[in-house]
Amino acid sequence: MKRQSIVLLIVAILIFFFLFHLFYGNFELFKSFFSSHNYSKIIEEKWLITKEIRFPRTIISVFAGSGLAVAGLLLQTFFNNELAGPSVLGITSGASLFISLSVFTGFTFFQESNGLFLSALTGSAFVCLIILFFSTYLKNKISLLLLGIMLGSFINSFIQILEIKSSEINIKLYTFWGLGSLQHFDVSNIFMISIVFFCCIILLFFLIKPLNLLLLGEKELILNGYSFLRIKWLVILISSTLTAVITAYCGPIAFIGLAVPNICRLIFRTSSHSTLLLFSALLGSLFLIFCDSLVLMFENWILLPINAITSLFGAPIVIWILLKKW
Amino acid sequence: MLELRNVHIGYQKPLFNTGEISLDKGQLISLFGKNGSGKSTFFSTLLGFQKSISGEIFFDHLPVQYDKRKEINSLFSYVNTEFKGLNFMTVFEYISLGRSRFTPLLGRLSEKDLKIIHEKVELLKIKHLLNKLTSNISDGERQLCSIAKALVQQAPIILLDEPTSFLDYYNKKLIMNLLKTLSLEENLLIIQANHDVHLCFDYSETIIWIDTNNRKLILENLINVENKQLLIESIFDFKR
Repeated sequence: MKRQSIVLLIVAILIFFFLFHLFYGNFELFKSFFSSHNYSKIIEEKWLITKEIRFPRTIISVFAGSGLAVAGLLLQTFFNNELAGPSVLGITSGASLFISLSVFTGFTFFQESNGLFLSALTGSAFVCLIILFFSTYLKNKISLLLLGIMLGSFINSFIQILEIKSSEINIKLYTFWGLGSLQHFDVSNIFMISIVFFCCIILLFFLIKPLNLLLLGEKELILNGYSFLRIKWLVILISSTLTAVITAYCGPIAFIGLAVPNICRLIFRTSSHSTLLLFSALLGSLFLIFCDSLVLMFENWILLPINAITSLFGAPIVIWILLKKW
Repeated sequence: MLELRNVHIGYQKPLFNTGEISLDKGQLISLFGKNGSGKSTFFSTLLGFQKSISGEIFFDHLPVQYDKRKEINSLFSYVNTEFKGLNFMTVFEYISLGRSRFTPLLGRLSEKDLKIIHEKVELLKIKHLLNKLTSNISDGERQLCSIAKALVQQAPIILLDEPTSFLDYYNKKLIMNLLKTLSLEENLLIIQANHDVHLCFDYSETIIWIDTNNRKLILENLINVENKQLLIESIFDFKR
């Protein structure tokens, strides 16, 4: 009973922030839903702005928040490390490197309209494979995190070198992207990101049971008739795809993948992935939509980068988890 | 009845040969062998993690098909005695993972699954632990949970690798007593590897031990053994 009330609470808050985020600054639109005499020119214009500009931003907050949280949860279970996450392990940096390569050099690996996403995917998958390769030689949980952080700074130094050699306008473009920006997301991309998410959700259904078993170790997985290799590739595929698609459209967003699954474990006191996956996704989107609502509220005075806000709330949470555990 | 017919156990080099050994259900069998003699490899071979070099394993006169994971799972359950507990995994969640081979895609437990879990939990008297976290219970309690997890798998053979190694004397006796009762009451074949010979001699009538000098697995009925000290000396190869 207690769990169900928490669920209702989370869903209610999520719906509230969704509407708040969607209509912030245009609350009269919300009222116009309920009144019949609403056909003024201004209202119509505002509807158009909300539909074309705000709606994609709200949607991408939901997608990005849930995607990063799920990617973080997968990595945490797979590497048996509660402090793992796409940004900690350098997967986000990998995606950034390939994006900066296409931004700075103008050389694109893929010519399609979603070339940025595919570049990011190449980068994140590449880093995932490196981490995977080294993780078999590392026995210590801490060394894996250090490896990820080292890999991240190693890749970031490449990005900085690229920055030096490129034109002013590209640097500006890249810096804004690097701060994380949900407002550059375009309506036309919703279709693409929905397809990616839909595929990932389908695949995640097949992962719930194996992930639960994986908590007890590789042996337990094999004993129950799963192929460890197949599960490994599935985890890498899903987490790098989610990270890549989000990094391509919103920039590298830190801390959500790390903090949200841990908050979920604390709230629900469970390790069952059917619960954790669902609520990491819900809480992740809630977290990001809350942070972006703050960005919206301060927009008139200062344009806050979303990455700063997520770190502002995420870092203390991580420190709190550390203090609780060690 | 588990029959081993000249199974050669080992990696590239054979560690030992089981010879012709058959083990009946309804007994607790202790497996001895000095360090590195291949006790874990023996279990790995039974569980199908590792191929035997030659020979065949039969259960109830039918060969065990090691290419079918489902069949191995329905015959053997393995108690992970090294489980140290996980933050946020409750005892109930841990035990219910033992039902994995019966549950559908999303791992949802059926009425029958729940009934069996509660049955075994009652049997081991650990009902009060169900909602606790596996990281917050004592080593002895955790060992009981691991055994419960193996029991809900409903396999006729249970394998344990050093189930008493980290426990105090009271818990050691508790676990051994429990294994003995389970083997008799539930008609299970329980094979446990252990270094504590004196403890095991009190609970097992039949022992098997790995003779590293002759590379053989030897089955011994303790009733027939007159000088137990001599047996212990040969098991652990005192003249090495």
